[in-house]
Amino acid sequence: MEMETRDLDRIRFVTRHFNDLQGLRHWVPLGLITLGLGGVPFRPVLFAAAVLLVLGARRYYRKTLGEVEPQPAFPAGDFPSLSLYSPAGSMPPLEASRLMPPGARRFLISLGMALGLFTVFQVVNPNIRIVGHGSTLDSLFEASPAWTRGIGAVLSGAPLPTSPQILFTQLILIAFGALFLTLWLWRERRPSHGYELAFGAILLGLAAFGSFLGYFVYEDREIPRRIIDFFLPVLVRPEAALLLCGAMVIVAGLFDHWQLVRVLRRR
Amino acid sequence: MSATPFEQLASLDRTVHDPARLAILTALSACDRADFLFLLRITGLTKGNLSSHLSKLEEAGLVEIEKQFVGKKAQTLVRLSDNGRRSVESYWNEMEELRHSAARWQSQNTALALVAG
Repeated sequence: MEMETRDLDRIRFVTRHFNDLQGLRHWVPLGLITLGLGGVPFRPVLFAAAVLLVLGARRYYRKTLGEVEPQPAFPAGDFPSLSLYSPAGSMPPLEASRLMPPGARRFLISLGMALGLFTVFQVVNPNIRIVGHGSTLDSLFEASPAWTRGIGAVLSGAPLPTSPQILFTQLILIAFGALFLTLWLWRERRPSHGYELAFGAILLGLAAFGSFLGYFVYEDREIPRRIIDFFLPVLVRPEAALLLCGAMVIVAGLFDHWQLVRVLRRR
Repeated sequence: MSATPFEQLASLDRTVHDPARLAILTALSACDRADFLFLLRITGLTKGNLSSHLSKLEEAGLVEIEKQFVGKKAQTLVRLSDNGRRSVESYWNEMEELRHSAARWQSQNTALALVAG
């Protein structure tokens, strides 16, 4: 039996990530639920399909590919006191963060960075409000007057700089973008998982693009409005953002499943 | 006088330094436990072959095998023992040392060949 270092590396990777690579069990159901929240018809059917898929896929993977128990997040026997006020003193914050599974820690870091950047964009960019029901930039927005622009709005005590609907939409894009980015980092930035990086970059890019919309409304710049109108639904409507994110999660889940099955060839 | 790469290669633990057993140990080192079916799929071995290698690893004290029932079906779970984890780590350290040693040996012999030529 010939065994190359590359094969051993692949064995190590697939074993370590066996449970989170089960795309039919985790990501496709999450995508279906996200699509349902995005307003796809027959929502109860989608939710029921997601539940059935979770249960059925678990059985499928166990019967065809086997089972792996992952290593614990922290070494056994190294479990510090649950109480912050133990006799040894309160737990330092850094110690507490090590109790969190690495994947969750990475997701929170990615999400925190993305939210921080988003907050900065909201503060420095012109404010916008949705006043119409159209689907184009001109029919949809009204920009706030000059004296409430950007940081001035925060300092003068003006209300939320951007319509809550737009904020919520961009938060959805940020959350899913951070999820994909975290997955890519968690999976050791492997080229075979480049689709996670691509999806994360697209969603975070759209969130950043959406936070700059105020420039195009307020300044009346000569910009390719058709391009903006094309992206507009997913930038300002939560349902459209959920549909896009749900579709990406399903595609990523199917890719994960395909990769897992390809490596663990049936004999 | 330090050992040559060939001497180092000959001194590797043969229980670990076998392609099939190394694949099994690599998989087990990346998890807490894995079942027989998963090891079968990830290594590509036949059932008989895998059973034979697992027996050898168990005799050497590198793995612990546990059988349990899931419903009416028997399931075999395998994990690396503490000794097994140490052995795998030691093996990779030796391989890294061997790699450096081989590179040094090659450069020394290239220099000698140039001088002799």
